[in-house]
Amino acid sequence: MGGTNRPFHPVLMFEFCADPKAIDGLKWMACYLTTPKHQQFYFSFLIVLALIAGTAPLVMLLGFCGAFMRRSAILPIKWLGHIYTSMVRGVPDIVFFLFVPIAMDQAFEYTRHRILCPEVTEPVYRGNDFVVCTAAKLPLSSSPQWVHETYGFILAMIAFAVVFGAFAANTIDGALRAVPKAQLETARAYGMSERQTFWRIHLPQMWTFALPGLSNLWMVLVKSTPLLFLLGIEDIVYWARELGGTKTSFFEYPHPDWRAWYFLSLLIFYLLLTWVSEKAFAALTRRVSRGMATQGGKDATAGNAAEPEIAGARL
Amino acid sequence: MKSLIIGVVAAAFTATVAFADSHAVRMGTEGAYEPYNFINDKGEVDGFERELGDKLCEIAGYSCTWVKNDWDSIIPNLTSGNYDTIMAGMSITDERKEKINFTEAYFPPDPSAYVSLAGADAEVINGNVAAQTNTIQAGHVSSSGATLVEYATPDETIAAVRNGEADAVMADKAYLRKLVEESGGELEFVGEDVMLGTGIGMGIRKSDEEMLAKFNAAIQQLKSDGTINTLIEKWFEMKGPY
Amino acid sequence: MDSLTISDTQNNNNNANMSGVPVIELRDIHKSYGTLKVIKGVDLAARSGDVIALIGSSGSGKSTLLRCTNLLEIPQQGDILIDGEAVRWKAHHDERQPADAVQVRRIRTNLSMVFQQFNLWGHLTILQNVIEAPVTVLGRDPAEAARFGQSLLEKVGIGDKSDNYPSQLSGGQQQRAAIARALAMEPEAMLFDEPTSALDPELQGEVVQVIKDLAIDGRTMIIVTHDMKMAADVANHVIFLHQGVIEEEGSPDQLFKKPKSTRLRQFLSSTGA
Repeated sequence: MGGTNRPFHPVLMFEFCADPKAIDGLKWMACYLTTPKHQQFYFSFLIVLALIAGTAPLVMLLGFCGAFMRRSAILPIKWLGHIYTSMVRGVPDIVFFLFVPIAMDQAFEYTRHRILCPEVTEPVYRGNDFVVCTAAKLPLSSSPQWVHETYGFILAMIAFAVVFGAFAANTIDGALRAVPKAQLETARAYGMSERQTFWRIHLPQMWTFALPGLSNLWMVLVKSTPLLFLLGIEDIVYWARELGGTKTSFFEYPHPDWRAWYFLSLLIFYLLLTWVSEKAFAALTRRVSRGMATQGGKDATAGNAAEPEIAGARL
Repeated sequence: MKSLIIGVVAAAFTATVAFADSHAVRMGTEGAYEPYNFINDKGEVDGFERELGDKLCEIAGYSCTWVKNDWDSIIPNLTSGNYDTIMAGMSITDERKEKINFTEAYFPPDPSAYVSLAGADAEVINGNVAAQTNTIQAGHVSSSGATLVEYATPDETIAAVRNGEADAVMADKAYLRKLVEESGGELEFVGEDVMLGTGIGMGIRKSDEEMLAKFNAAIQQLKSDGTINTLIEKWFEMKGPY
Repeated sequence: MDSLTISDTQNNNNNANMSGVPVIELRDIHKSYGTLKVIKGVDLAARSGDVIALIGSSGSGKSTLLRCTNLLEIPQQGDILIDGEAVRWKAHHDERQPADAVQVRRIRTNLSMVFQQFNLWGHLTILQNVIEAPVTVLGRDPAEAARFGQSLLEKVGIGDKSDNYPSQLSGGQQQRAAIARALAMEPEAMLFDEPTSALDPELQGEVVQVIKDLAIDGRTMIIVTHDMKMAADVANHVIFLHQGVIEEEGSPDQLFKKPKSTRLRQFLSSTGA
């Protein structure tokens, strides 16, 4: 899924960088750090942030779907919800991360092959090979590289969403259960419909109980983004490893093994990201638990009850 | 999620057929094994195989794009169709031939060599020896009686020697040469060179017989007109045999 | 505490029901949980202005009976009529359920309930608690509802607490807020489920006072209580439930001063009344 033509235009930052052999010191460093290859490295930070930003809403969506399925009165749906959450939670993440994109990709291509190339009679699976006709390829071989990368990125995002959605479903289900029944019964006693009870009382009160678990999940999501690398997406880990490795004079900017510095920059990036996230969640928690937080030990313990299922359950 | 899936599915099935181009070929490489293939400072695939591959594509009438892939999954991702060829300094071996086809060699059997920290005992080649996973060198080390320490990338095998995780590293001599020369005396070749493999070829799916034939013809043409020899001299500073 | 007076415009229980049709009528109510029969055929009628006290020991079924009235519990047998309109039923597996969800909601908006544990919604301020159902269920204008809600809070003596969250109030204040919330629905009748039982004795008085004022106002109320003094003070009719049946009923004077049944005598002496 990797490639070289990215949907952004590298620029020559400084005039004096034209001949790297002739410069040294700070100038050399300035040129080195602004090579197109480094610009791809910096771009990959955005990819990680985009993955997190794009995945989080999907996770919540799947989380709510999973939670509602588990709470459904219709048995097959309820079972499906339980199968989804327990299966994903039970199988190692890495298996899902590797399985989901490949399975989706092949399913798409297989279906396209059947629709677009009905005249092809040879089997799609030939020995080791998975062969679909040229028109069924996804993306097409002739598509620009950025299309391939975006496609891979979307598959990765779906894989992340499927895995984290199951954990979110569990947290949300737990949080919905943690809202005291009396609060909901009171809403009904005052004539609220089930829908009104959910939107006006159940959902707003649920957040207090869900947030500890969800913030945990967010942190794990942030920390899991290097898995993108395993999915063949050139994320920050790929570039740090590639840029940091020993460079001989085959390269314009030869240097010894600088991987430690590059990984240090990743460390700082992730620490900053978690730090900001923690601040944001603290603010969010204060907001949703207005009135609820001081309601006493009962609610505080219920809020924590949703958490241990998530904490430490991963990676 | 649902709408996203629908969106993806819709995109998957409406992507127009008009641009389907049987001449578009995606060339898979590792991009981490200079001078065979590496990512230059412009962020592009570069090296002997890039230059040769582009010429081969031209002769075979393909429009080629280069795709990076981890060494470890480079064969599975070929067979599942992520790209159409492998040009990644991959030696032609019987084991690999069970899964994919190879063109005839575009690079001759080249010596593999051991490198260790300067001043090390010659016995280190029987100690902990680093090699990249799934390479002929890894196979050789484990059958030589030494302890194999495997790494995902070539660079990590060198780093392992530098930081003492391994006593020596085994890789293609062409890859090691500059690393040793430019190590400022830190690294040294050690022991005898070993001839492994039967040359480097281009990996192609078994089902793509037409492509195999076209690339074989192109390789033969570039061998006979001396182009490959010129490229080998340029990138490896040695005389080609073709 | 200020005495509570509710203006005529808000008090709507003196109109349609003067005809003599009970506001609440229960006929032959049976309720069981599995094999445990909790209520075994109870009749009850509350006419407009009636204040009925349901007394009895724990497990006598008095709370369950109250909760059957607004259908928080579904009795397996018997009729429930609100303003003469019978609850319609449908079969559901082996049991029955109300057939018409709209009817159920309409009944509930007319019978505001005050709970033992107050059950104020924790995420809403006191004023928001009071206007929540009028706005979302009855579709009242929020600003209008807030003005009316504020006046109700003033009347129960906690006008200064409207922006506080329930957790910031004492139990007595919370229960008074809950009563204001019930009044905000302008219900035809109010159901009290042991409104003082969760309160420390020194906080019970303020709630009892509010309920007394409501009784003086002519509110139709059914009150489940352990507080015999309150029952004697506010009720015009007292029902003594024992093991799911009405053991004895009548005026407070009759029941508290001249109890006929041995069980009621025993019960009253055990409560110290």
